[in-house]
Amino acid sequence: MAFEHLQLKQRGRAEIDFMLSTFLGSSTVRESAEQAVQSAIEELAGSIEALPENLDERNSQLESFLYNVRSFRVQQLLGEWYSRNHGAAAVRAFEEVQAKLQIELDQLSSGKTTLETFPDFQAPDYWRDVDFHRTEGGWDGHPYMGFVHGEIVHRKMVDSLFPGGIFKQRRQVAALAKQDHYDNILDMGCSTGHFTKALAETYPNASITGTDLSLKTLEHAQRVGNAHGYSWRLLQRAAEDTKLAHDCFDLVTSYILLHEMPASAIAAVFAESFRVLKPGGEILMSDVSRYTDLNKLEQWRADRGAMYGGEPHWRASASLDLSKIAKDAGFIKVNAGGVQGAKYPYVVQAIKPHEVGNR
Amino acid sequence: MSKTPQSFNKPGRPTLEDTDIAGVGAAVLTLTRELWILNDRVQVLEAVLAEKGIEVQQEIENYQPSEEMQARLNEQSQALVEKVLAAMQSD
Repeated sequence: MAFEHLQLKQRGRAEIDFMLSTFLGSSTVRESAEQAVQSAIEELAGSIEALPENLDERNSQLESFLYNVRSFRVQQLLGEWYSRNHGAAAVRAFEEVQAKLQIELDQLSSGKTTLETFPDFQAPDYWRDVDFHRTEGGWDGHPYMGFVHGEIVHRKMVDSLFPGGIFKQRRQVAALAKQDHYDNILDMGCSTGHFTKALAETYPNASITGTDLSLKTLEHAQRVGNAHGYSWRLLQRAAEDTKLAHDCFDLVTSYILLHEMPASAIAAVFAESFRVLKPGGEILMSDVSRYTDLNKLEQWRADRGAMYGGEPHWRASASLDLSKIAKDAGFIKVNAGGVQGAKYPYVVQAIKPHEVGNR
Repeated sequence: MSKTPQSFNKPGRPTLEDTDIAGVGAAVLTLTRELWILNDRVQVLEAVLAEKGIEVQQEIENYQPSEEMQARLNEQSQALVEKVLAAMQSD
């Protein structure tokens, strides 16, 4: 499909390239700022382990040292400039080529992949009016935000910084499910459908249902599904309240979703996945690294990234014990940890017992 | 301390301080110089081509760089960022 090999116009292409260059061309600043971080640890605490337990206190102490270092301040400027501008740059690049793409976009809105919306749907307070990833207006902030995010931010920006990484990672996670075949898969928080596609490629005979809060990302998931001839059923529903029937799926997944939700909603997601799974069915939930798996410096980096990167729920979510939440929801054979020795993504797999109550 | 999810939309990250202003001024001038050199070159290029009867504007708009050219552009773009950042950190 042409949209997956999108050719931008000169201005948009050069603007996106320049956004990447602000990262790739700033290695000297980043190295100098990193030296300052090491000096701060040495001077303030003597070692990483001796940094304050409390994250706010830790950040405050480190900042009191680091903001005296110019390279650190410049690094913050670059980070802030990128956070504020990457989404708008992608929107501008899209709008330059929109007219050329419109026929294809319209055609892909109909096909075997369907999208259902509901008059009673209400987005939860933890999501509404939040600019996730500092994307102005949030995931529904532009009529084609799903396309902009999936095809420009992901493919042309994130994938350029980590070539092949994000799509390969989705396929690796999809392949972790325990069976070779599934009849019915539910992908919670399916966003623009890129993990859903990895599931479809890995389990080609499965019927796949996807839910998300964002209509604009679902509209793009529908385009992705139709572009590849898939028959996905997409629903604008919260993962924690899908309103789907009991006991109807044999695999429920979520890919890097949970850190976008508060703790109460995460517990509800596990309870909802338990409810909709057939006895013997399994979950495959992946998310960001647990803070307990990170040292105090890694925690501080992740936490600052969340604080300034439009991630209001990250800290609370990454601090949760997802194994315990899965067990509390009734799952058995709970297995959780990083993939292939890495701390990211963190994957939770578990089974719904054949006899509920037998925990 | 209780923050709303929406307060993360504009988190108010501190970046530069008053003492950075001289560096910022130098960076702006460096950037302006680079921008002008480029602007001058594009106008010269278009004029030379027009004198030879070649219309390039639309082709430039839709041009897709080869892998080699893209690598060259990336290298030059990163070098530009490095120049500006070096100026920003100068006293």
